[in-house]
Amino acid sequence: MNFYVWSVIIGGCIVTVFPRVLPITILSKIKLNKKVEEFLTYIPISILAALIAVELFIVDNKFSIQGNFLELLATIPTVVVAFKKNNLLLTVVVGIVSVAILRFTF
Amino acid sequence: METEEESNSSINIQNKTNTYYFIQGVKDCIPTIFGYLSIGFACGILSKSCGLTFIEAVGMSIFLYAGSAQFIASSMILSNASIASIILSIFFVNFRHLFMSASLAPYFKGNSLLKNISIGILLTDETFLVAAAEGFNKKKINYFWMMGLNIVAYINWILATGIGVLLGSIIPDYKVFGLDFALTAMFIGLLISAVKGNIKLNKAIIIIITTIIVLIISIQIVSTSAGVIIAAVIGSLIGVVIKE
Repeated sequence: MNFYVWSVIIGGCIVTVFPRVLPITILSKIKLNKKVEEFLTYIPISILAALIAVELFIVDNKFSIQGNFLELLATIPTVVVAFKKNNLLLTVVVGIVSVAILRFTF
Repeated sequence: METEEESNSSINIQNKTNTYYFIQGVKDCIPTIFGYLSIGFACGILSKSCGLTFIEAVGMSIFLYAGSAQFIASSMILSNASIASIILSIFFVNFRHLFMSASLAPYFKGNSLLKNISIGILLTDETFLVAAAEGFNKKKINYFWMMGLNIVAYINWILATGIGVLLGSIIPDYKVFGLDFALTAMFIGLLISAVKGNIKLNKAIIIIITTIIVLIISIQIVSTSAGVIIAAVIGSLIGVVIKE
């Protein structure tokens, strides 16, 4: 039993649970302002955009386009399939295969 | 007697629909499994290379259940950072869940406190995004559907990290097969389905571009995880401010 590692795990568990649980338990009980509700409906889109940008444009906390050039290229077929087919699994498979092909080729 | 039978049969129907919703939730989780399988796998490999034992790495997946926080915690443990600084980093990295949890709250009105706690406790990027799409389409989310989604995602994550720890030393470089792109591809697919059904394309594009620009600017000053939160908040605010 490693006290150091388990302190991190248990402490990390506590600070992770509160942001996950508090809003859903409190905000589901009260009536929200229309503007606030509208704001919350855009959160999925903006968080996704941010997470994708982190994966594609950021290397070691810095902005970089060359760092993920092949991945950026693979984004094109992935986006096309996502738009045309609306099938998440297919989108993921096309993304993986595109990156694999690009990495084998270049 | 009759009333008893009646109530029995209505309980049966209730059970059936609960099971039905649960299974539906499990099914809706399936497309995300590959994305998180590969990232969980990577997480297991990294945990091991940072010196964590199998039990510690899997324990981290059970108690933290958050990919990017686990990556950061493992590498900070390797560099012997103080317990307080690691926990603080985990807090910041996972703080985005606050907005996800808030965003789902309107769909779970009328549920008991205990039910909403059990939903929130297993909330992650992937389950949030699938649930947000469900909420957009149906205006309300069934509790058992959410549990089906959450539990499968949770088990998948724990198994993936476990397998990553065990097989990490055998498999040389999982990146060759493009598996590390699974997460990005999944995010792209989820983003496009979120945009398609619900808001005007022009508005979505403005939100997305604003978010990305704010992110790139803010990481010049703050960490990437803080940048994600700032960018997401400003991006959504722009959505409220601009007209259709």
